[in-house]
Amino acid sequence: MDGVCGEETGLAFDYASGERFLELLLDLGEMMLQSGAEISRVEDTLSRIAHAYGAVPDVYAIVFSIVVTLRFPGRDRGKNSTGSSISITQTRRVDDRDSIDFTRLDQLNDLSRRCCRKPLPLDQFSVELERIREDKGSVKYALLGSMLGSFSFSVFFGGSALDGLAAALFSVLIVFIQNSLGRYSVNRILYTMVVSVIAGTGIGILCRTVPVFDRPMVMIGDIMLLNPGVTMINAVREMMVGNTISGEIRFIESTTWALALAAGFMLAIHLTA
Amino acid sequence: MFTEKEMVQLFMAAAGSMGFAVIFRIRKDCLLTAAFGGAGAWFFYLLVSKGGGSYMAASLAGAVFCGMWSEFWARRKRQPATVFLISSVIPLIPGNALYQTMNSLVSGEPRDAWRWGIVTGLTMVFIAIGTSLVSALFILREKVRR
Repeated sequence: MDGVCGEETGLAFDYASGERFLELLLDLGEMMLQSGAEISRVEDTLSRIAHAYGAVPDVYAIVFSIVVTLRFPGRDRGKNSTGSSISITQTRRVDDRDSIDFTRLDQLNDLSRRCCRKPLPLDQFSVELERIREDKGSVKYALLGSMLGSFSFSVFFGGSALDGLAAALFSVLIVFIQNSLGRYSVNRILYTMVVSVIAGTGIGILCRTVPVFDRPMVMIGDIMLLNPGVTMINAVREMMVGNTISGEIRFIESTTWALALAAGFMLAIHLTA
Repeated sequence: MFTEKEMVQLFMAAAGSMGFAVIFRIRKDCLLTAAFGGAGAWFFYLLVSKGGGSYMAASLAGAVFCGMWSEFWARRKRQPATVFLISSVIPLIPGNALYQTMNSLVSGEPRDAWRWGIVTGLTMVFIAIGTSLVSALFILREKVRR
């Protein structure tokens, strides 16, 4: 860890450029957290880059906040110098952190690796970050994945191919709701519940009118798409590696999402039974 | 050794994991790795439950496999281990148990709901333990090496 990144870069920082560098660093950390990186990875990456740029970092991240202090040791230690090292702190609140995006994470890792090997000028760093931020996945791709996922798990749990197709059909609805409603969602609990009620009611009505479909099997396919199992597993893993607070926050969050999901589907089953 | 239904499950576990890998935007050359990881997880789950193990032991076995699979391929493909872990662990997630819990509650059978609820919770716990165990071992190995 230490000594891996370059020490002397020739980049001299004053307050202004230091603040700018730190802001870019936090941008990177924020995007990493948003795309599903573990806490330790974010902290480690930010520290390494800061080292590479000649700063002494102090990084602390939890799921929705990053705090970084950078100390730039005074460079000029001649007789007229005050030996002034400067020290800068910024914090960043991180929102919208529930969409796992491994392509983005890969790009961010690549960028940080390059920065550690040979520190990029800040302008270029900024440009590359923006380029990564712009690269969003297409809806078509997400749709394809959701359809494949819900179809497979519907059949996996014992549904017929027809049940699978119905689940895939409703996954289209779910992706559509996620894309249109996601922006207006107040919080994830309410939002999960609304999506579950809509999808569940739709499935319930379909299975009542067309009895060839087996309601449990169609529903399970879409429950697999919506359930926060991955978040929950990650939460416990965070706790195991010592990020207790982040783990606990994620655990409680994912449990309430699961309850919201259950409540939504229960209401739907109740309405259409 | 596997029934036809189980073969279908293995195949669907692979396809399902791949579907989620697509949703998570995994790099294209890692998609198949994710798919085989999902099938492997379910393979070990089935193996243990056929050998008479409980669903907890089976989930643990599947999760341990996922952990090792992801650590191995993370090094080969130069990706974080999470990438393969998250996508391959998905077939183990107790979607059916969660549904049964809800269904029992709605149909007024709190006892069944309780039973299924416990299955759901414990399965999640054992998946988490299994995967964390493996990553802890790998972290330890790195530390010893240094």
